Amino acid sequence: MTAVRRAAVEATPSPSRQAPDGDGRRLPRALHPLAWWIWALALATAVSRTANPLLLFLVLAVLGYVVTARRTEAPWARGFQYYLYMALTVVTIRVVFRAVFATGITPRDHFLFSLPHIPTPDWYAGIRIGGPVSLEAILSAATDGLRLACMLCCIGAANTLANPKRALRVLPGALYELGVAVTVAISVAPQLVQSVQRVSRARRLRAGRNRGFAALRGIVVPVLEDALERSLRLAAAMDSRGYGRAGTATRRSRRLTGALMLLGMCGLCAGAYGLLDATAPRVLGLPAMTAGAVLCVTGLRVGGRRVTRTTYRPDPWKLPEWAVAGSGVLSAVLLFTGLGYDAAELNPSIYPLTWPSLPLVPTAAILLAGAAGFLSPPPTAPTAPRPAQRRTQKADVT
Amino acid sequence: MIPSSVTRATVRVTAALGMAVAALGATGAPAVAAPQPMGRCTTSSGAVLAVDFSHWGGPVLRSCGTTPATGYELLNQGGWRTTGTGHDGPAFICRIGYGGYQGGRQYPTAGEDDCVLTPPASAYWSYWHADPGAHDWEYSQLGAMLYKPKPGSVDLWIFGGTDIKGTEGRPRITPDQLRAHNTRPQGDAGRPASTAKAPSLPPDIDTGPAPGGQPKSDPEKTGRKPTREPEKRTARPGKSASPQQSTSPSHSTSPSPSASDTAAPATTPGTSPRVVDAAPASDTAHDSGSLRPVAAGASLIAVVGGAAVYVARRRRRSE
Amino acid sequence: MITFDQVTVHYDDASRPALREVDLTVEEGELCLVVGHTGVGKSTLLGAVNGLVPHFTGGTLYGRVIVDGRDTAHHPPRELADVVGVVGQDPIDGFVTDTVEEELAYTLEQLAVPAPTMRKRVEETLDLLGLADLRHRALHELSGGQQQRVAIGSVLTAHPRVLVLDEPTSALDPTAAEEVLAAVTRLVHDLGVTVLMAEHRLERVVQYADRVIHLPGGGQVVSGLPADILRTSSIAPPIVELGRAADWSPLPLSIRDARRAATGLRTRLTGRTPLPARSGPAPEGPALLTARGVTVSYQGVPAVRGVDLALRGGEVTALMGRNGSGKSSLLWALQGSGPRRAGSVTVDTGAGSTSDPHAVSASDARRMVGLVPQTPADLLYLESVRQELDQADSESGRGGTAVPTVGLGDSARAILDRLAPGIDDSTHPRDLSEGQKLALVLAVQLSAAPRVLLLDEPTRGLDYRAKNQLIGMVDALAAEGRAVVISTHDVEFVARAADRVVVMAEGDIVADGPTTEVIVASPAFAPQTAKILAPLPYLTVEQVVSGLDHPSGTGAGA
Repeated sequence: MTAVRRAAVEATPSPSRQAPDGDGRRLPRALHPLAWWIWALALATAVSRTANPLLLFLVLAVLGYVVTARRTEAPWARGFQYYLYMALTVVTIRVVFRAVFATGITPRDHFLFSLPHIPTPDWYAGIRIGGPVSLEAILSAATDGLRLACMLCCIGAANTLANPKRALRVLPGALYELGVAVTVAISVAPQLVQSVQRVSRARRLRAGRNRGFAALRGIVVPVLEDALERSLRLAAAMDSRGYGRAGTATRRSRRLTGALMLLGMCGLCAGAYGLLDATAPRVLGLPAMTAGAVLCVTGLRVGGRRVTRTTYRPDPWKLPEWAVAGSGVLSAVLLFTGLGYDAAELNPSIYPLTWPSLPLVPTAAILLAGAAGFLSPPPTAPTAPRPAQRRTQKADVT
Repeated sequence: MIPSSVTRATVRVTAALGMAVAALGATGAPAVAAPQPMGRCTTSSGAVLAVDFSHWGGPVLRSCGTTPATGYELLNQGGWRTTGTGHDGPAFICRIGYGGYQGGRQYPTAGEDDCVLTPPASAYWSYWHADPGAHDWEYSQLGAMLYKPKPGSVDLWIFGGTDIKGTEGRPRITPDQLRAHNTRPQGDAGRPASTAKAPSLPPDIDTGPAPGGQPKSDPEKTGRKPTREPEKRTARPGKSASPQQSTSPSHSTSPSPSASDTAAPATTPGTSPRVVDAAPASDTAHDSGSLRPVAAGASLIAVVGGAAVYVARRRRRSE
Repeated sequence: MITFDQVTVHYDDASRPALREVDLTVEEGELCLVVGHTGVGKSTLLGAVNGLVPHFTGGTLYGRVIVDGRDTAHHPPRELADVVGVVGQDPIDGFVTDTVEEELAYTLEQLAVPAPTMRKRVEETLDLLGLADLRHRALHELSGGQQQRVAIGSVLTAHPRVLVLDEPTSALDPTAAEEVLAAVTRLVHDLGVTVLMAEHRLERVVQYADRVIHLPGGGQVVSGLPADILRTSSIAPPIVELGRAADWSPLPLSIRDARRAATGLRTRLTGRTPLPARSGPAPEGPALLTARGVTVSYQGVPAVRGVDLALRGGEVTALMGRNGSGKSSLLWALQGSGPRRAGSVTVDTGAGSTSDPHAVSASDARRMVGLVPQTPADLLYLESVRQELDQADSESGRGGTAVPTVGLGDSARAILDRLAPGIDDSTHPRDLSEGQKLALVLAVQLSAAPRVLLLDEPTRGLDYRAKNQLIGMVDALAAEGRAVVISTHDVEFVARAADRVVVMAEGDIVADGPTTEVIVASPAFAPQTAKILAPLPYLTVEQVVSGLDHPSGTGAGA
């Protein structure tokens, strides 16, 4: 509470920006982007454990709640619906593939319909195309797709909730090129949509064909040229404005940082591979992971020893950040340890069909992650432009 | 925008659930092909199914199917059940259970492998065949739903790891230890087998103790004492080393050296798995679960989704 | 402050160097104007100052460029960020963050300036450039002038000693351009910042320049006092041309000086009626296009409000107005491709019948009204000029057409040769200059033989030479009996090219009349010649020159 009160005092001089929320208690501010990312990635990890449709839909509902409650009005914060469409596509593709590339039907299955069977030669007998489709196959494909879709939506939620450009600041200076690439991608992607609209409208002026490859080319070529030029100009602007400056760091220390980071990343990758693939040599697992982490931390320390960047209005890491990140991590831990419930309940049987159960602990864990919706401070209210300016904007676009 | 999408998604979910409800109501009528007692399999008819549970301290269970169309059918009759993976469907055998072993519990258990994705190559059920007379196992190039066992052949499932060529993790047991050696069918063949009601065991093989330690017999569930008290045949080194050569035409081309090779593991009885005949057993009763958690879950989802819609409405109004 | 020592820049794919043995010194606190035609190396020169050339663009730089004692050969642009601030042509392309305040702080963050200093400098810059009210606004919702000021502010916070501005006002309307230029001159005077600025429209900036760096072409660079350089340079604003014509010395560069020098000239011209700025009789033909109550709105916000407009054949109409006053929306609505909420547009198709371009197919609409969009390159997507022209011919469907047309007959190639002779068939459209691209798109659109032609901001980014070419093209089109509408901010261009001016504001037409009346009526819109010679009704230098050459001209008797 002290933190809240202090924030209230700080905010008094500038009421225009931080108008109190409707309930008048907490002041709107942006949560640290890293907190949202930890929360979302942890939730995605938790989702990866379960194929229980009840839990998966609960995760989707929780994501929907948190996103609607805590997103801002910035352009990047309006894209969650597209992730939902993408999720739906994933499920559809999964189901269609399972129906077409039939994995066989057993006598116990519930027969739904039959697709024409396309015979494959003997030497290609591993794959069957067409044939009978069972309800079990459809449902298992749907739940499997739903799981992927949920993970996708977790990432989407993070992208919607956390300001991508502020999140990028977390990136160490040693990863200069990556930082430029990501910033350019984030900035140019929305402009790409605009130029597609502009060019396709301009196409009408030439009355060219509106369908087919030629029309596509007529749109793609100018749009890509435009995007490429914009990207180069942005990268040049970032460079001219000092992005990736070495500051007082010596050439040697920069090289050392780079080498340490690179080695560390390799170690982390090898470690992850070793842990996930049981056939990999044991050395690759935990030891490589630890070594990689140590190298990375050392690299960051060496690189950070000579400060090359400062932050204007740094994102604070306070109680709400701890709470949001913690709620996500805790839910992942609960789903992974399997304490207090039967692990089988996370993956209800489809062969034979069984009603999914609602295990108490995982449900509570997911709801806990949903608590991020009110553990985090409300988003800053958009500074509404005056109507006249808004109109100007609209007309400008045309 | 978002809340309306969420609402729409919720509607879709409800519709999908409704369909599933309808489907669950109608129970499919299982039709399984002729499981037979072990004695019905001969050197030239029927196919022997053997499953190695030694990974969990159990025996190698074997049973007989007279007219199996595919390896999958052989593995899903007479009390045998399998589970596929969520990713690949039922054709990828992820779990195997037998009604007469541990109460029909399927292995590996949910705690060991959730059977959502394809199991790792280091711990999965590998599929091996031995044609009549063959002295060595052949790593199956086909899945259980595509492979058609030949009469007189042996299908073996072992749990563990293999490499791609099947040279690592080969079975330690020999085909001869498992295959049928009688030339004529024994026992009662007239009674058709049923999965719901397994035939009573022929008296001549009803010897030996129950397999696999303490199998759960749940009279309340099955309605009667499970009829799986198959003959226990320990793998005798001598037997595998001197198979019935007369019934195996190909054996003359590969005489004793190969036989003694395959018998080599059996000379160390401590590590050799026990072979137990598994008679056709009743299917374990399938509990399709209760609707109550589904209703509870759906209402919970509705509550959270409703909260999202409410928040969105309020936001839009304040704009 | 800036020293170029025998600098030669050679791009890898170019046959000749972009800059050749340039020796140049710019002193501290100077406002240097870099002038020259498109493609003579202005951007290369500016880019070399902070090392973007060659560190970012590639190519080879011989010689040395030294800025504030630092050699750009050893300092990449990011290491010069504290000394040189660069602002590009289109500010939105250079924005790295989302809000005004973050953008202003960005360079400081990269320079590791301590947080308290940073806060102070951001506040100062907000005040200096009049941005304090906008501090939390998202960058993409600002107007063009505001964005350009933010872009300048974002490099100023680092207190650079040198400011490099590459055509900072080319995308802005006159008021916004004034806003930006006022901010720049204030920086020079108050902070002693050295400014290096490239600008096509010299009339806006020449009066502020301490020195002009002229690139006549061929990689050469000449620098000197503005009056000296402009006396002979190939590029000159109207005020200089007038000065040259009247043989004033010293050459005046501001309206104030010119008016003083022009006293004698005004006396000589008094009593004469100037020849019209545009030759040819005023068109009195029937309206080719008639618009009634045209309304365009986007998501309920009106952009064009009930506009009535009639366009006659042989008449060139300039459409003027602030950024966002609805010019583009009106043009697109007239063409029929854009949205139209209410109102009607009828086009005389030439055979006595009329038709609404919005109601017919795109290819028929195109035969009635041609439109060249703001970014002409949007229409070009093939690999060579030849292919584009052939494609245009096939798109225009020479042969059977549903709508009867007049004047169909010239192929796109013939039109292009008439508009801009000498464009090679095999050239890639991307390699054309802005003016040539415009000509190519014009040819593509004219191949359908529309009788009404609309050009959306064609003067953007054109140098004087290209503008002269454009005026030639427009004259030719009008002479063929077509109605031409050009939306533009460029008053000088309007004075020379248009018969009639329509001014829009907030979606309404606020003024509509002959060029002479409309643009002289308001001082902000008046061309330089008119300002200098007011109250005499002269708009262009050509009028004055012809008035002087033929003292017994048409108006002698008045």
